[in-house]
Amino acid sequence: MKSDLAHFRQIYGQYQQLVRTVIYQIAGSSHLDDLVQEAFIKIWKGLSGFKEQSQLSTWIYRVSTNVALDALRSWSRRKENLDYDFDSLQDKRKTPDEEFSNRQIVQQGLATLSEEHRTVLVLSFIHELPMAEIAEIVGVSEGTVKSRLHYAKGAFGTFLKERGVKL
Amino acid sequence: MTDFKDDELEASIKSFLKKNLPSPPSASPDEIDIILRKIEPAPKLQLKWFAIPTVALAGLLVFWMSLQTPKMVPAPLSTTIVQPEVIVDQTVGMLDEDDFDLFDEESPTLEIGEDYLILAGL
Repeated sequence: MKSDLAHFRQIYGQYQQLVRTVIYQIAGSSHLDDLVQEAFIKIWKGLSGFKEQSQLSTWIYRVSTNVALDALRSWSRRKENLDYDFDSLQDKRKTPDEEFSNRQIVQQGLATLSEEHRTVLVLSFIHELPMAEIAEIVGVSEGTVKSRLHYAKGAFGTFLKERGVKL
Repeated sequence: MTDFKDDELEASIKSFLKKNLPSPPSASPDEIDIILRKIEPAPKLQLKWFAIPTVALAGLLVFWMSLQTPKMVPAPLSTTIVQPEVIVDQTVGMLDEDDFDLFDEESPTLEIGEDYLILAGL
């Protein structure tokens, strides 16, 4: 038990930022702390049954993505809005207005996508994971991932252009 | 041509995202402790395998004993105890006058030897 906890602490230290970022990018900042805790509790519970067939990082991506998507579906049933909490981004590092504005645009653009399209865009364009790994994380075929990514790319690009971003 | 445009768009979006990706608010320093508190079960009484049968047997024993114990008559609400009037027929069990004939002095009282002789003579 103690060695398991030590191993878990090590995993937390190594992947805490990754889990937090993935959940934030897919589900926004609402209940972020709760969702991160939920993800790590699931990681703890699944750690003993984790098989080395897939990489630990892939499995952790999958757990984080599922926690974020489950939360989105739950909020959708309760008619809660996706909240990225733009105020929390402001003036922490004295960023110029333009940069802050661009960050807002990115988050707004991600929020306009459906959860499936946002997930593949985040995993592919931000985390730069290969298609096969994204397919394993999301639990769909590679073809479906490519199709979703194609649509997400087009919709996100159009949103950016509409906001005056020069691509 | 379309693929080229697609790749170009992809590269531009990736570049824009990398420059402008907002980072999540940082975690509280005690987040790992909060998680560990939720993970580690609180120390609780471990039920041994024999605990449930023992409790069941004890329950049965108490039930059986309750059947053996005479039932308690509930005390009356009033503190004044009213004794019911008991009418005793005092003639029951008393000897009648005729019964005294058994002890009549005139009745022959035979000694054992005489009894024997009489019976032997019959």
